[in-house]
Amino acid sequence: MEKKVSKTSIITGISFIIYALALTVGPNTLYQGCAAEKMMKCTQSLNVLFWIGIVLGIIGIVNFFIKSDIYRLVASVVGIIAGIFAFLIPTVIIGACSMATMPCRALTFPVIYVLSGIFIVVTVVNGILLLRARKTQKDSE
Amino acid sequence: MIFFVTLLAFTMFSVSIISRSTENGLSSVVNRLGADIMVVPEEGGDSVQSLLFQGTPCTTYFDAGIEEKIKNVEGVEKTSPQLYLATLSASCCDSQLQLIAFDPKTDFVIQPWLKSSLHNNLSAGSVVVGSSVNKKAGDTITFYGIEFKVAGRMERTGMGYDSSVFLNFEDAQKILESPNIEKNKDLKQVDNIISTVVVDIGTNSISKVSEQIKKELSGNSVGVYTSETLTHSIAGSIANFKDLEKFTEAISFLSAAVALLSLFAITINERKKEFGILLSIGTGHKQIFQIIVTEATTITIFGAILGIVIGAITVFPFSIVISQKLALPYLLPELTEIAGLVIKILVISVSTGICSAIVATKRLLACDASELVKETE
Repeated sequence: MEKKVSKTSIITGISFIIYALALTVGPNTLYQGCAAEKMMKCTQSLNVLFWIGIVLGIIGIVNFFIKSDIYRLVASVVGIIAGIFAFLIPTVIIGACSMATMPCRALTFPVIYVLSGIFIVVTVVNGILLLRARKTQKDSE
Repeated sequence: MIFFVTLLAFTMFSVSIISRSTENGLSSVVNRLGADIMVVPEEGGDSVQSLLFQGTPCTTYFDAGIEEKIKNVEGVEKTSPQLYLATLSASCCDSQLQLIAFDPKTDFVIQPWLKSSLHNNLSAGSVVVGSSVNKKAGDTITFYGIEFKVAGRMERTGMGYDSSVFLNFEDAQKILESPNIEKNKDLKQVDNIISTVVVDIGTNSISKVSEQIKKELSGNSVGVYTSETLTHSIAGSIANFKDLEKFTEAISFLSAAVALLSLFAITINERKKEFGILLSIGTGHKQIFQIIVTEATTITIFGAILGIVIGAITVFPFSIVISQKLALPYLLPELTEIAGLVIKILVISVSTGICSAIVATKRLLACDASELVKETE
């Protein structure tokens, strides 16, 4: 039981940290957005995603110091909501550049959408494994 | 085993989609060009090609009197002028767009396919925008300080028209007369200018007429292009992609077949005792064969679907980046074509897996049950 819990703990921590890096470091390095000559919608969207990434990164790091399943379950829910917001912020809530050929729409946000989708899937699966582990633990008690 | 099937499916799917998209882009260019011959300023030839294939905005022009000279050339049936003007930046967007003005009275190239977006001719004060411009019918858009009404938005063409805006000459003249036109540093003259003359020669010989036009305009700095010469360079690149697609398919298939054959042989060898026991308790050869083939089918279907999904995640969201890096016209295939490709890849993957399993199983079933159990003890 201990082994299973620690496996999900590692998955939670690592997936959160990787996704946090994807939202904070990635748009400034590997998949840069538009050159910010003025405050554009895409810049605003990336700024919000940056802070979401910071919060997720903190959750991921703290996860390694906390042994509680409840923490990881709550983190999974927060992670899924954050992933959904990563889709909604550039498309609906704030927006991005109008032209489909601009760097933010051609590269930056598609990368974020793909990574968000993967993160949501991993978090959901991890959440299911956590719930199963808790159920097994309760049954054996 | 799943890895190799996934790799096979991923490689075949992504390379095929990219190759077919470039082919569709080239067909789109050829169909939309509509003209047998295009006459452009000599120094503007590369810019016009960049505009058509990659959507790079340009401002290029020569004197409108050139059209009259072309009309007099033997073999020329119809001509129509167009004007290409790059915007500064549109109010809606943060990058330049290409304005393409045409003469509604003589045009035979743009209006036929504009009608599919408009159902009527383009009226004064209205524009039609390309698919990459985020405006819809009824919106307004401003160029050089003049507001226009958006009459419609075109479907995706995979070529430079996607980031272009179409308007008639009357409205283009208003832009040329506006004070903001001075901000376009590429424009040194605003009176009586056009950027290209599109020519229809009916059933006459293209090569003959284009030579005549070159002769007639030998004193002017112009470039005379047929649709073939205009698309020649990219047609070569696209043909190379087609060859690459076939080569990649062949190599991927061979590698996967060899890998699966080896892996199935190793896996079945490892499970000799298991199959030996099954045979010794009365399980028939047919049932053993069915077990192995069912496993092979499940593994290959799962691997193929995984490879196709990864391929789709790689090529579809990033289609614009791919087309920009390739610098070729790029138009994704229709859904039916993609579905056909998926089925083809599934059939190839599953057949490869099943054939590999059959070869490995034949060797297994040639042995006696006691030999299988004894060999592993």
